[in-house]
Amino acid sequence: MVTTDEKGPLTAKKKSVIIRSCDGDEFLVSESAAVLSTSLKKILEEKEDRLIHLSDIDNKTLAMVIAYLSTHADDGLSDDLKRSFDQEFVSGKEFDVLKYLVLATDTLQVTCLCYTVAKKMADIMKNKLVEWVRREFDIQNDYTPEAEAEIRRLDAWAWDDRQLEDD
Amino acid sequence: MADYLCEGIIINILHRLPVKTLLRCTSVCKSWYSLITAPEFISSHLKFAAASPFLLLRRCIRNSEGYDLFSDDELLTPHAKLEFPFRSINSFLTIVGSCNGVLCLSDDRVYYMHTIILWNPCVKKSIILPKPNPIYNSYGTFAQSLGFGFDPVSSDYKVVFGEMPLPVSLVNNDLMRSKDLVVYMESLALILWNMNGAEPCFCVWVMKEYGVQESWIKHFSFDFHDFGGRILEFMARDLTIIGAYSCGELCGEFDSYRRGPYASDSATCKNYQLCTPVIVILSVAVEVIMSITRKEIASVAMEVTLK
Repeated sequence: MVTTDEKGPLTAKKKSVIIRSCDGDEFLVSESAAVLSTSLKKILEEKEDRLIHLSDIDNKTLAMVIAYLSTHADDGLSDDLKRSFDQEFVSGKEFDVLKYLVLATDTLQVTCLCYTVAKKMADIMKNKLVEWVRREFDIQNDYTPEAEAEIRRLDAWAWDDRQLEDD
Repeated sequence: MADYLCEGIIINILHRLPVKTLLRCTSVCKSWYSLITAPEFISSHLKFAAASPFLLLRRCIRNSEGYDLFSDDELLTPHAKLEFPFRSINSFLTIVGSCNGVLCLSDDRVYYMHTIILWNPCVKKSIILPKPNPIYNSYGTFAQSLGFGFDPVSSDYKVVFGEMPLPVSLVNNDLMRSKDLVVYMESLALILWNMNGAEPCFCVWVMKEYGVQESWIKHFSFDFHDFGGRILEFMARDLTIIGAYSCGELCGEFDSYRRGPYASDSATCKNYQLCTPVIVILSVAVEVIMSITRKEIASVAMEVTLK
């Protein structure tokens, strides 16, 4: 499957690359969008090959990153529009989806998207219980109950929030 | 597909959390605890917090003082009420300065108690400094003015005493006025104001050459009557700026990074002290080893001596 991110037909002059996700889907991306990713830029500089295989990014996540890159590579869009796109881009996304996104932005080195996603993840975490954080980040609690209680005692006020959520 | 978030990504997320959530996150696991309490993380988190500062508003009514945080927006949206845990001998404490979210308070408004407190209101932590024992080299009446700042060389907060000659023309004739030594436009500045006397006024002197008495220049002055006598004190980091409420262009000059005078309830306005930017930082940032030195640091104000 080849998905194009271009709105109109590709012109001969406009260079493009094909990026393949770990599950085999291929995406046709303009070079101007691809080079917004520092990693892709390096790959393109180093080899002639116009097919890039990403072994650790799935098709859903890759599609999102490419939508982001294409929007940000569009010279016709104002910075304001790009900013509101960013807001829209992360809004309503599940924490899990954001987690894969932030991993992808780390692999692809797309700094500004990484920051946008990290901000959204932080916003979601703000009112969550510690148990929720452990679950979502897949972290084992390595404190003894006494040690954990001691940490909570020291800054008890930070836990006095009644609105902490577990989902 | 790996879903393990590396430390770099986790730091990126934690940087964007408010202090309260961060404190809770220290109990997630031991490695998060070490990460969040590391000095490198604290200072990098500070940079993020500093990007969206809050305004600290102090209300001094009768003998009590209350501190509230407001969002730094046009509407001055209330953010949080702060618990004020101290008691003072004077009717209220002097705000010596604020730096990286740490507020330095001194109980010296009328009686010099030499009680100096460092307070990080966002994490509800404070330290009372050992009482200093200043030795004065000059004689006569003096007004004490402390300075507070962060010394990047020693990576430490400092409260500073020193002696500074006043402008010659002010010596011996300005005892009735309130004084404040601040850093203004990268120079030491002396702010004098007198709200009650025959000529209520406000003026700013700037010391062009640090430590040189002859280099004091009267930067500007104005009459309070023009502004209905309503005063706001602005403090910013190591900079204390005092302006008159609704003073238009003057506020513009003082207030290089404020948008202008704030609309606030006119009845209580003169009791308001605006202090910016008190930024959210981490509890552990208060774990500073305090040193009180006589060393001169350019960014902090000194003790004023009237010769």
